[in-house]
Amino acid sequence: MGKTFEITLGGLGTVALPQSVLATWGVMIFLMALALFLRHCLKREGLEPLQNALELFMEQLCALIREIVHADPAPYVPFVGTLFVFVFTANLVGMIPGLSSPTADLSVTAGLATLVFVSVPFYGIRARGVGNYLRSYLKPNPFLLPFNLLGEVTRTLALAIRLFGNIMSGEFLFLVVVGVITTVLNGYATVFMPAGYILTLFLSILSLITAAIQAYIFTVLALVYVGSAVQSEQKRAEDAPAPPETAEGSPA
Amino acid sequence: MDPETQLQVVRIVAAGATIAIGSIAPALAEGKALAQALESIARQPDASDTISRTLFVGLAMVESTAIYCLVMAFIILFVK
Repeated sequence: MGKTFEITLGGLGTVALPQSVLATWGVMIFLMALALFLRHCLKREGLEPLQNALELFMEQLCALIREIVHADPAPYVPFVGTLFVFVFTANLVGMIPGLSSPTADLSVTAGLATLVFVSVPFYGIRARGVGNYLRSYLKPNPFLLPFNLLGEVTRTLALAIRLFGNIMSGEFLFLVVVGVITTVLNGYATVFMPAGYILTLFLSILSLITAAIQAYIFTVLALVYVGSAVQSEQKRAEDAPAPPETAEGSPA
Repeated sequence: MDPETQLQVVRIVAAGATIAIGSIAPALAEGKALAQALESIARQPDASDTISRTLFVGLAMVESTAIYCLVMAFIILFVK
């Protein structure tokens, strides 16, 4: 995490780049190359497995956006889709031996959360106009303005730290397990070595699951925040499903 | 023990206590939310999509309390 690399720029001197920046660039280049390659593969006719998978992903994403935002998903797909794909790929980088996930660096997740923080008023003003958007901070009561503003900041902070904490703790667990096996059990290391392999295998599975779930949670939360800024109270009431006629929650 | 080491010991103990005590309530709350969601899915399997998505969002909200504790623990540990 704390590793930096010195890069020499012609006559301009050297720059120290943290590993997370280089890994982020790597992920960006990989994703751009993948996007160009996939665009090249798209066809109008025929069933291609790759294209099917891509269309499935896009359809699921659009359905998710439509369900949460209750609006045409087109304006939100680029932002939200990129967020998901980037966070997911960045989480998986930690699986490559010798590399650590860019998202295990608080600066990277803080940057992503800042994007969400900025995009909330952007989409809100775009959908409802400046006046209506600003007025939403005074609801349900003008006295709640400070809390609304505070909530805006703390949820961004929580968004950043949630992703960082989950990914970083996943990588930290490996260090702890390896450290325990190699130093504490030094004399008995040969006996416990198989246990170490099995344990790290399970930890790998756990961090694979965490990578997917955290990318999903990050995306859905970003969508929920954007959706709450986009929707007006009245529209939300219209879109709310009618209450069920029979009470199914009460056991007899 | 010189004061520097004492301070370090206090820091480590306080950070451990922060995260240990602070994660009790979120853990219980997340368990409760999960149990309720499972029960709802068992009752209405059709609504499982909506329920699980709302569950994820809700768990993330509950989790943020524990995350604030993590932040405090980090601050106690590393901010000199």
